[in-house]
Amino acid sequence: MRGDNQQQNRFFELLEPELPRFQAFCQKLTGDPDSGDDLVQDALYDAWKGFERLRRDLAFKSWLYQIAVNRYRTDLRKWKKQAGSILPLTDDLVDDGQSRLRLARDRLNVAMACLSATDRALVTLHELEGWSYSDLAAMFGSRAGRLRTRLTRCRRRMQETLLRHMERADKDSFVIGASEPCVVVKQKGS
Amino acid sequence: MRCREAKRFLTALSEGLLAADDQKALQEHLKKCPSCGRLALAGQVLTNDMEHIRAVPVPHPMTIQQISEVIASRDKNYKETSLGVRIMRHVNETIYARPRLSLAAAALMVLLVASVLVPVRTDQSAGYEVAFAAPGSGLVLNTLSAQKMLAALDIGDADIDAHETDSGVEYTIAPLKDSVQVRKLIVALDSLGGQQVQTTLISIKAHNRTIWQLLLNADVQKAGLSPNAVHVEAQDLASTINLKERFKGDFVLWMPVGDQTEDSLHGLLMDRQGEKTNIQIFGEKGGIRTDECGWDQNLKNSLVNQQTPDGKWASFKLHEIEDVRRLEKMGYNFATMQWDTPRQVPIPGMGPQLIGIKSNPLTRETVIEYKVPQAYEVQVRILDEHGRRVRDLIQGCFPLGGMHLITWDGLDADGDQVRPGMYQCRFSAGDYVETKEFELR
Repeated sequence: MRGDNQQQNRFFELLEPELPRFQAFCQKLTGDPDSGDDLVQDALYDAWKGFERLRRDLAFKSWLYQIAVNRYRTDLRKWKKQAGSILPLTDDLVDDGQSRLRLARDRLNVAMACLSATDRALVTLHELEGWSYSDLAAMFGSRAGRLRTRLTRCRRRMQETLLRHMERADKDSFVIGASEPCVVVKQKGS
Repeated sequence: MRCREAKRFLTALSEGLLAADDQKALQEHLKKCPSCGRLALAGQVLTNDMEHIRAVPVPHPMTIQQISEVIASRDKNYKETSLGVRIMRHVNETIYARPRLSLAAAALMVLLVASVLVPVRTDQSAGYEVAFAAPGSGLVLNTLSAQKMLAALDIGDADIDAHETDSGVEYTIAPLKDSVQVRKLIVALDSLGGQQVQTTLISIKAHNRTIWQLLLNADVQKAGLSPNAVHVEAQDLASTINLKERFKGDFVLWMPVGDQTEDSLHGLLMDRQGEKTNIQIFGEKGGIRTDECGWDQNLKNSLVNQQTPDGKWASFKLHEIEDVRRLEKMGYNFATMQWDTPRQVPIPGMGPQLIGIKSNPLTRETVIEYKVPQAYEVQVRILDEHGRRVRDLIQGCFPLGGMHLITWDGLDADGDQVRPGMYQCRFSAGDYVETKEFELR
């Protein structure tokens, strides 16, 4: 698309209303604002390069999110290979709203560690971004009923993973379930 | 309520689809079952966390202007990057994005490199070679029709080498990829007999030990061939012994011969002079003077059977496999062995044949399998262990060429059931007669 101003303008016109939601999705998908912003930039650069191959403007949203999911899948493989685990838990004492958010993110990351990249995207879009089953079906090229079943399974696996993690953790230092939690979470493996 | 049901209810609860009565039942179960209680707690934690994250706005929202600057900057960097780095980046990303495809591509590249570096084995070292002769007088088969036959058998890739001899035309077909193709060809040659095209199988050659083992173990017998028709090259003495013990055929054994050959062979073979020989050993000429080897002319004639065209190899005959073992102990290295077939000898497997007899003790039926290359006058007779006639199953019949089965129901000529025991089946087709024993249980 390089050099084609008209196409470039069209790309940014379509992107503008979707950008905040897209950025929020990327941040929630990666579980970290910085990694999410990196994913936004990578995915948008890929989308910008391949925009001329998009034939229908109506499909822009699905196409854009699909690019982000694909990019995230690739990144996830790299991270897993480099770090072994991408989901360390914080060992800070949680006592304010910001730390509450961090703890929630960490716990969600732990729960989502059992899912594939596509399943993580599915859960993020539905549970955190509020996408309907029909929107998800259009994006993933599947049937709504099938996605619903898949999401139910994902949720159950996340619950079981989180429970296992809780049981492994020190019971004295990992107290959960309180509406205003005061939780000390130990580093995984410590 | 069972735990399995409780888990299902928990899932429905998280989706807001659980009825009030069911919620009550679920709560009661959760009070009793700590395991499900902890799972419910984890689910609640997860739901709370997701709601919390959902409500939090994006900390530093990007603008279109920032995005366009980022894209422009990246594009500039991309254009300034050299082609090699771009390719390496692209390969790197492809490996992560499509690991299976990358693995397949890598495997393909290794194969390509290997195929270039490793020399392809020549036809001499792999595959089969079948040679057969068609007598000149009744020759109907020519090269063109032989090619058509091969194409019909789906082995059209093989080359046909035809050359005339005094007695007709000899054909050599090679390379045949596997023993299945060999078998197809043999069956086709066999069936030509029914079309008045007489062919004689000269040899089947396999230049690889694994291949000849397959051939011997499976296809020779399946194709109904006599082992005498098989001409194989093996690599060691063990193969020779296997062949000898398995088929009792004649052998030609090739070996390089050292300096001590003359004396040892002389001493060894003197005892065998004049006897019928079963095994031939081809030794390298080096240590043996074939013309002036010191042995008397009679002995040389009986020993030296054949020479290779280049004159480097000569043949020597031995009588028993034990002699071959003895030679090996003396330090001879057997390079190549051939199991040879004298030419112009009729091949029993190509004519009428009693292939097999199978007796079923449950049904008391015996199935007799035979084949005839063309319409012969056939007789199949059952005899008892003393040679007395029990029943004629086929008498003066002229079946068409091919494989045939006939079932004997265990009754004699008077219709009475015969006793269990040993019986004989005598099969005759024209002048050919073959008798086999079998047990009726």
